[in-house]
Amino acid sequence: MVSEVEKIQKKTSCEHQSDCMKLVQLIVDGQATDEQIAQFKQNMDKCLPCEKGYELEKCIKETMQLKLEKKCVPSSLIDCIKKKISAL
Amino acid sequence: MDEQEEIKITQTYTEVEKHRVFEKEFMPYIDSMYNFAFRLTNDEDDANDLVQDTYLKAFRFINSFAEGTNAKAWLFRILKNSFINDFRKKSKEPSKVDYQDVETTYNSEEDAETTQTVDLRADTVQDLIGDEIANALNALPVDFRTVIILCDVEGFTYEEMAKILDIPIGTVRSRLHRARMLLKEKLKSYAKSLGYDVNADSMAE
Repeated sequence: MVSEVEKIQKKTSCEHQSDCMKLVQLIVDGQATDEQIAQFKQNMDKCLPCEKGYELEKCIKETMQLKLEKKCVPSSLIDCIKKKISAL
Repeated sequence: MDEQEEIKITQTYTEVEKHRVFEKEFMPYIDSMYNFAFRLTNDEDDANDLVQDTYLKAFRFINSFAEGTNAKAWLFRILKNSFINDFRKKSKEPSKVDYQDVETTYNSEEDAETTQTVDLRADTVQDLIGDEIANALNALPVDFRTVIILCDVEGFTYEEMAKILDIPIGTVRSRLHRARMLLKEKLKSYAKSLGYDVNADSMAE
């Protein structure tokens, strides 16, 4: 938990943003190593753009998973496929 | 799946086994396949045709599938290739391509060293409803839409995506990065047009 004082002291610009955002992508996609995660967490505690960037990427990923409508396949399609397979 | 790979026979199932493997290994993924097809084509009838083509092709080439391996990735690869090779040409609705987007993104896709940032707030994204998210996704060129669906919706790893798309892992990473940049731009435009406060005080707590 970061205190309010520490939050205020966070950097408001990031000199490594390109690299940090690549790391963010690996982390939100579950493709980062433990070492990369630890490295980024340490950095995120001190850097506001990195924290915001991580929050945004994580939020977009979760939004895609949760809010996109999931259609159910029509039962007629399943029947049609099974019928055609049986006829082969 | 390339035709060459499709005809590479690795198994010799009996007729009974073919039907058993088809039912057990392929059918559980039909909802995911249908959603992927719908997101690629933006049309329910086209999605039906694409899924049907894919499943018939999967059965036809079932001897090149080893039971117990990654059936979902195998099926997605067939569907993606069916879409590109057979379907994209005759699709009722050619993808709504913003050619400026494509030019900008493809020109820099493999060289994603320069990272632009999109000034968009996470809470603005949370406020958007599903249709607005879908519109932003559908506005992306199909190759970018595809990587986002595979990664974020279907949860494939980069390695699986590389196999499905037949591209190197590094290209998966850079394409995903570009796709997300574009998606953020689209989400920002939608949010702005809907009157959301997209970036005011974005650096403030």
